Amino acid sequence: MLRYTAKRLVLMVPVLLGVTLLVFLIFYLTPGDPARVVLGDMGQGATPEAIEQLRHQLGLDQPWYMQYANFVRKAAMGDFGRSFRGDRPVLPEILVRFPVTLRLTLISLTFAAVIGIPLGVVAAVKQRTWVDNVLMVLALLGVSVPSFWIGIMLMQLFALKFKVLPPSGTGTWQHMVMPSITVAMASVAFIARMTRSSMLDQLREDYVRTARSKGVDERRTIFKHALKNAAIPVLTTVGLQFGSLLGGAVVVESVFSLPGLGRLTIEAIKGRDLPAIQGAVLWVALIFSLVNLAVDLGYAALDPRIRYD
Amino acid sequence: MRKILVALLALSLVLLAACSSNSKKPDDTTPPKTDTPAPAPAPAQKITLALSGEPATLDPHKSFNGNVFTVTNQIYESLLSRNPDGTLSGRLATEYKSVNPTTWELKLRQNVKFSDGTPFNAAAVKFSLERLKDPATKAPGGYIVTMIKEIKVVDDHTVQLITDKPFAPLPAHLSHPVAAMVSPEGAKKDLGKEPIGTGPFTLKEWKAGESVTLVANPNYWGGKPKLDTVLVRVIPEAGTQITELKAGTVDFVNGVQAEKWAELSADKKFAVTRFPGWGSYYIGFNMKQGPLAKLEVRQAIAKALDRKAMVETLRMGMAMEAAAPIPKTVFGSSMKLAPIAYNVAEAKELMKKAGVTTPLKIKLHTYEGAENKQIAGAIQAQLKEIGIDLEIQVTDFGAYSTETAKPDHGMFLTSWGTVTMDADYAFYAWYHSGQHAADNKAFYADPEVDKWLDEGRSNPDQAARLAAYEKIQQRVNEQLPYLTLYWPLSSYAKNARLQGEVYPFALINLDLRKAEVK
Repeated sequence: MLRYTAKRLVLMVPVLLGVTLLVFLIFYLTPGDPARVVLGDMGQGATPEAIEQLRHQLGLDQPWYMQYANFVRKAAMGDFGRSFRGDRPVLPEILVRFPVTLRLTLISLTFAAVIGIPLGVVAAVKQRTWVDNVLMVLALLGVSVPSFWIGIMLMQLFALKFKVLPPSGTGTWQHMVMPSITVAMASVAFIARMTRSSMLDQLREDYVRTARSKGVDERRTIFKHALKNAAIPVLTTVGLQFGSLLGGAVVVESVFSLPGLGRLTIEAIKGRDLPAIQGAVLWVALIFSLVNLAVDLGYAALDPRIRYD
Repeated sequence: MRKILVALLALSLVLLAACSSNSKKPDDTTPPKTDTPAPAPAPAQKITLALSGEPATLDPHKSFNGNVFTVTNQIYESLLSRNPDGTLSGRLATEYKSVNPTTWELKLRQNVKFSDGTPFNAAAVKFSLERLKDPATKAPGGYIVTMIKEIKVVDDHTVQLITDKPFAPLPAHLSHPVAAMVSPEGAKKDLGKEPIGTGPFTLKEWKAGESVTLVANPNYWGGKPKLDTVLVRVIPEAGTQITELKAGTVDFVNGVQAEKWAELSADKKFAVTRFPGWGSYYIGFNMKQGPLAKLEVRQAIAKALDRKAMVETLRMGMAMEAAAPIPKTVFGSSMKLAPIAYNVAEAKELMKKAGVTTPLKIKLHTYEGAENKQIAGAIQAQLKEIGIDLEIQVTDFGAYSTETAKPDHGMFLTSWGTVTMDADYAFYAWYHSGQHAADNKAFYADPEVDKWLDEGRSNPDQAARLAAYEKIQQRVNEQLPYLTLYWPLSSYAKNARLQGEVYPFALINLDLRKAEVK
């Protein structure tokens, strides 16, 4: 187990290098002169010489492989560079934003799992009854309805009409309620559907029939035997959701003015802020790889047949 | 498995509790209680401002961005400032005059200190302007003062600014928030995080991506402001800003969407204002190559666009019909030009005269934003009438600026702020033949216009400058390198309890020194 973990950690290095190189190349293939973007619409009116000088100041007049080599060398020592848009260090900014995203992800995904898994089990057990149909239609709605719409509707209802929750921002636990529900909505549906199909597979297995025929309590059969075996695909789903949500829920962060990682990344991309983009992507890739590793190790905990040594 | 579920539920509750306990301090972003008792004491002098994006730094020299300036302009001050009537007045300078064509002399306000106690004097002016100019500062807005060759300290309260060539609009440039005076002592540390200026407010707390808390500077030279606290909250979505305003958790929202105007102005709790700003909204034509190089095609387009309808129906009164390229509020705007009349029949004639085959395919470049998309759509529909098949390309600003720099770009639609409030800033960039690599994206070149531009820039006599700008505007109105569609209005909505704020043309100039909560 330990050796496996160590091996996986070492393998993350080429993954991260690949990701950053890809980001670098995409950045150079995307139209948009960072110097002009730094000047922005307010900086229209800058002279050609001023634009050229700014390009030089940002180091954009060096060949791209030199810029990339510089970035890798510094990043290896924990220095993610300074942003184009305000000449501020990138890493501290990411470290301030990440906890906001992490908190939102943990709360909403926990809600989603607590609600989604039982719903999936119920739908599977009551397969082809009205309960199953209603639940699955609801789940379909949950996946399909765009989250910005849910967010705006919640805000109109709870912040303006009933005045029980603050519209947006952070500060108190009340601020996290609407964003968490909005993010959870889609995940609940996703997890419920995954649990249902995985449970259906298990309920058809011989061991379930055996358990039932020897008179094991039905609840015990479902929760103790079937659900435990159905858990691996569900864990994969939850893990993937976790990883992708940690990249930031851009739409929800914008609607509810949360200073999360998603908004930081989008602002960096729009601002052609290469150091900030690189920093954010590298950070997310790192976290995503770690979460994936944790999920893989989690399989072994759930299923004794899976061993990594 | 049930145990796991129970554990997960417990974990989620713990997390909720944790994020409430680490931020227990009272926060004004929670909704106000509706049933507060009637006899209210004097209101707390605290307001909340909504800002649409995160200020990337609090060092005014390190950025050239409206969100940055909106905050830094409360903390720092420039030598001069712009009044709501368009005139300039002294802020940290008390007098300014042109000694000779290349020298401006400024008398500085006395007994002014930076918030760290450093005295404000001629040395601080020299330090600040040199810092803004210095390539090592990496100041994107350094171009605002690059024409200053030397900063001479005459005495402790007098400086002379010597320009490489005569530069008449220099005072206007010195009023820009980027030309802020910074504490020479403070600049030894990180002004981006610990801003030190002479302004009416100082920084109390900056929560990245979330808010900036400013508090009154008790030693402000103009007297301590009435507001104790100004909380600037980053709220990216315009819809959320309005919801916050309605919920009473935000007091000031910049830029009212046209469709929200009627609703907000009907409610007594809010005060909404709109007025001419410094903005122009226009189309540029590629005069170098393609069908738009023909004058008749440009004239036809000008006549085929119903700009009155754009202002009244599409912008719903949030814009003004324009004749001159820059709004009347800006120095140098022509009062004599008449708008080109809407006439589709004449436009069709001109298309025939141009001898182009219709349908004529032309590309229009613009960048994201509701207004750009809306107006681009209207232009497309109206140009169809005269046989132009317009292909709209909406990208982000970065890609837009790359596309329009290409020699075969077609047409583009953009907005512009004449941020110094002086025609030189816009006209030199749009019309001078030396600016093709920057903002003269029409690739316009006229030796006579170049000469008038230099005259307007160098002649210290304001009447002579106005005459030069009049000639330029008459000429470009005939040649149409650009077509002004309208002048967007500046606007803001506030909670009626906030009073006394002064808003000279744009948010970055917002002056809260006399503002208070009533």
